[in-house]
Amino acid sequence: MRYLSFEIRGEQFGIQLEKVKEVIAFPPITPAPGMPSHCLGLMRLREQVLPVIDLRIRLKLVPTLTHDTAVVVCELGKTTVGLVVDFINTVVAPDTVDIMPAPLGADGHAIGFVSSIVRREKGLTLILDVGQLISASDEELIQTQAAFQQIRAAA
Amino acid sequence: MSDQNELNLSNRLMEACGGLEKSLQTFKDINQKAHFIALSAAIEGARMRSKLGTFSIVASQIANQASNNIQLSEKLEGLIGKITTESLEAIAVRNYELASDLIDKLDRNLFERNCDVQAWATFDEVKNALKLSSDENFERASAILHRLTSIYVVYAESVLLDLTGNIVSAASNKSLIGQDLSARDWYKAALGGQVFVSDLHFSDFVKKRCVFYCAPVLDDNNTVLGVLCNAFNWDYALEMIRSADFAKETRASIINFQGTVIASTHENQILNDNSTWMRAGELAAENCCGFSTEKARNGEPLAIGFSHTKGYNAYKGKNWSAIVAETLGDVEMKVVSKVLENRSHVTTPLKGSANRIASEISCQKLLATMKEIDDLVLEINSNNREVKLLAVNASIQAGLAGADGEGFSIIANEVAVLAKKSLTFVEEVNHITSSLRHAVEYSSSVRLVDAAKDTMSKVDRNLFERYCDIQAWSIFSKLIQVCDANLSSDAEANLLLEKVHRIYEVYHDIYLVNLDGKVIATAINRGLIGQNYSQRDWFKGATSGNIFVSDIYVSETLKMPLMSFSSPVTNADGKMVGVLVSRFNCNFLNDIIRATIIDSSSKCYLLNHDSKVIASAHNDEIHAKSFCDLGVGEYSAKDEHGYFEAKSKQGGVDQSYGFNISKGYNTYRGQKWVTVTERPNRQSVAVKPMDSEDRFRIQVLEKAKRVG
Repeated sequence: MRYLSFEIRGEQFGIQLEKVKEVIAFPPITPAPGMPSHCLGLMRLREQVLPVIDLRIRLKLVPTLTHDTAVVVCELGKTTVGLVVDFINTVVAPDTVDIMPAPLGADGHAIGFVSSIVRREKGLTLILDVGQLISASDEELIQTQAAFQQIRAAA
Repeated sequence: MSDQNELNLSNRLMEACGGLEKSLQTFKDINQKAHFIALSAAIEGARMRSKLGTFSIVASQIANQASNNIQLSEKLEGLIGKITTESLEAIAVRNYELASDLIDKLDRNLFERNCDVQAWATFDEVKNALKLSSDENFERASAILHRLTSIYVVYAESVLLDLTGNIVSAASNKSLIGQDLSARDWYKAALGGQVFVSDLHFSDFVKKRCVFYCAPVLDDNNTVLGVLCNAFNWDYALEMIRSADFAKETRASIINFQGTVIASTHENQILNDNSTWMRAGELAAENCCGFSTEKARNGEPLAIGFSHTKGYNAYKGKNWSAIVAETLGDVEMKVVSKVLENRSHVTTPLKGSANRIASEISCQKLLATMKEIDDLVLEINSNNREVKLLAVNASIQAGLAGADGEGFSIIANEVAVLAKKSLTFVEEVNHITSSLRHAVEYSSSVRLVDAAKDTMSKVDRNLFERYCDIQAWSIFSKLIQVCDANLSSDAEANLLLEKVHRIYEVYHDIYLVNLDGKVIATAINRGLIGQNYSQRDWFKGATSGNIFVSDIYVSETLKMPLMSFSSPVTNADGKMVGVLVSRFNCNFLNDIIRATIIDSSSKCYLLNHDSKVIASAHNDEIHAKSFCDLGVGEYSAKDEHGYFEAKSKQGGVDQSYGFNISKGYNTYRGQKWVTVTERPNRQSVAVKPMDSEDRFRIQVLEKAKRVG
């Protein structure tokens, strides 16, 4: 497995490389009415128009904007979306021994939008299943936040 | 506080410019490399078209960005050249300010010398010696000249010549008496009825470097009786240069109309060197003021300021100029010279405006170029981020290609490493431009201190002259006679005071007062005769036997700032018989303040020991404004001169201040007055301008915040 590593609030996350199309700098965004709050609006990418989702807002974090803020263009099934993140690291090919399955959440269910966890020299990288993350309910998210904290603390 | 090394603006500017050039070189190397790597990657990608087609697109995008960066760096190179030139100019302009300070100070001093010789020629002892031509009268004249030269300190000799050109009296060296100097130019010129000022020369009979001030001695019918010649001891002009405290790398000199060095921080050059080998020297000899950057005879780069004299008041100058040349480190430079003002007409009144504009423009130019560099760096920076993302994209493509992509993921990594390095470059450049900005800010601060120092020194030197004047006039035999006999409104005494008043220009009035405190003679306002001034401080001060110097006060009736200098009048038996008091028109101090060369947003004040404003460019601030709260008193008690920052009470705007405390000059001990220069800090420096993209992003972010 390879994944694209990026950061939100200084924590590392990853998306499986197969789902990633490319990365771009934070583009001009046209706000669109009637979208959920984590959807910033629409962006142009060459001949395409894509919805932009701020992963930070989705994760209930306050977003910041710096020169490093970037958009990861991902394939979600048939649609393509832009995901706003704080910082792009690089493409990583981890050793298979470092890849762990997703843990169970606080309620005993598997956390739907974390597909696996990668151990690094310092800390962990949560590999996100973006499709699940976007469609997850707020309740699920809140429960998962608590689980995240536990996982990080245990590492 | 101010330290010589720290104050060295030139080092700071030059170091920053050198630093910029060096990091630019690294940056160019990086981009060159990135360009080639990306190009070869694109070629490889194209060759394996089926599997890595998109990779070759990404690679060529990287190559494009790298070549963009190369173009930008060429532009940046041009800007660095520009900023280096502008920094050199800023240094040269600063030296121009120092040169203007120096020549102005010298002019003011020489104006006093010009007055002295005319005043001394009106002494009865001097006139009588020539009129009566007896040994006894010659000796009396010698004695009075001796007293006068010892009061004023700055004269090496003073000699009186009769109509045949023979020396009949001398202040110091009596063996000069009898010498025939009828062939001398200065003698002939003064005999024609005009005050004559010689150039600097080594006098064969005074045996010193001197400037001669010669005035005809006239009888009551304005017939020429002979010539009085005062030899100004040039050491006092050299002291002026020494006390100006130039940096070690700086050579300051005064040159005459032919370009010959007549005063210098490097004494061996005096009368031995000519400055016209410099373009600056040439221009100065052509009556111009300005600055230039050029190479010294040994090839070293110089930043030079030059300022031509325009004389002061009745003294029309000798076509001299001050040149301040600073040796700089190893810099590539173009020869630039700029004339800021042509002073072929010496009658123009002293105006600081031209100077102010020069230094302000040089600062603004530097700041504008820095802004250009900032903009360019911003562009380079966003390019770099672009390259970095492209490199990640290359990795993504390579990763998706599996085993076939391995080679390319290595290339992509290399590009990413290079992109990271050029981000470091941007940080470096930002760091350097911010230190350059500080240097420019600092240059203004240095100027604040320099201006405070220079103004204080001019004020002190002026007050020293006033201090000498009152002592000199108190030995006029006419005045002593009038006091001795207690005559009121003696016509001759009034006339004498009137004459002296006219010669010196700087006094409001002069009164002679008897021991009861009653005015018995005046220069101007005869209506005051009979007034009783026995309660005045100046009367009490002088009657206790001292030379009294008052603070500055504003006369209620005249609405004019005045200062009193008083001296006891003593008869031949050593008995005090009256008091002579001069009312110095302190508008002449305000004039010194006004002539202070600082930028137009800055102000200069003279404060008394209570930190109250006593002289200012604006009359209404006198005694109305105070610097008590700013702690000027404490600072100046600790250091002679320095620099501090404070918030003003009104707007909370930061202000910078330079100060210098008076140490007096020569026999005048000073009154602990302080000069303060004040400048509002430039706001634009702290706030970095935003580009339109930034603004857009912030707008989006705000939306995100609201909904989040």
